[in-house]
Amino acid sequence: MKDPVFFITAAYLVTFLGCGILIVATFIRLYWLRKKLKYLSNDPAC
Amino acid sequence: MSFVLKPKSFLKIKARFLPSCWAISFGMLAWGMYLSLYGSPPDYQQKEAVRIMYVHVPTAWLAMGIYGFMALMNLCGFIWRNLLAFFIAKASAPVGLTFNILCIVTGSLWGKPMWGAWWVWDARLTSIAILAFLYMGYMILINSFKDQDHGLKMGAILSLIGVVNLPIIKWSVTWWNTLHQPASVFRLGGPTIHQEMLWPLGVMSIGLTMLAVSLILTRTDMELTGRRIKIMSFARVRKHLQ
Repeated sequence: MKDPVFFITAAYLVTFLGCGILIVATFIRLYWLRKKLKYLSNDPAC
Repeated sequence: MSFVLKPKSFLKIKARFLPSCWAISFGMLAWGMYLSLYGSPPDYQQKEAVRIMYVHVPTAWLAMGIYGFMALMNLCGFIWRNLLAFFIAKASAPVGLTFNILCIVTGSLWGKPMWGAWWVWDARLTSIAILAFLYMGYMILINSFKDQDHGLKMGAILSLIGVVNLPIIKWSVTWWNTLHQPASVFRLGGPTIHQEMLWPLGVMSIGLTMLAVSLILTRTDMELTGRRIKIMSFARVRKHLQ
């Protein structure tokens, strides 16, 4: 059997990195959308 | 159900439960990490590589569970003609796809030291890969139409057809002779894995499930915000044209 340390580390890193990227991407998009909504809310044309 | 599927009620529920969902998720994941890496014994056959199971199995459950939830929301959308249900389904797809990809990658990382191969065309592995393609197909389809509502409905039909893949994934290890081991937790005779290994698996599963719930709630809020922006932009254009 090959040394499992590399595989265990990689599995945990990939899992938490994958979740982390999704969390960050979600919050960046939400922040951007809220900023746009705020801008439109202050626009008298809307 | 119809109470929850109203934007105002949804936003109220989201505001009330989202912070606790994030807190439970991070707390459980930290505890689960400790139990998985230090607080559980190595397996007598797999040795230390068994620790990969504590992230691989919950991601597989979530990939399937989120797909089922997504299809249920799409069904609710059709039954009650509810746009919020379609939005929840849309918000769930990237979360489910992420867990599906993580399941495949961690499975490969477990397969190499155990089977000597990163990938085999086994019934379980192939059916979970098909699930990833179903997620991708749904996400592409809903964004392929000029009319967003029409795209959501077309995607919903695809997601409902794709539900047939869920029992195939679950029972693929029973129906066919596969390299992937049979079910050891959700089975008729009860779990066959040791209590000491069941704990980290359970804690990690709750942590990742709460993370998925938090992400779906946040992304649904994102979809609702996007919708409001679209409506306001239309109003702006109309006012400029007058």
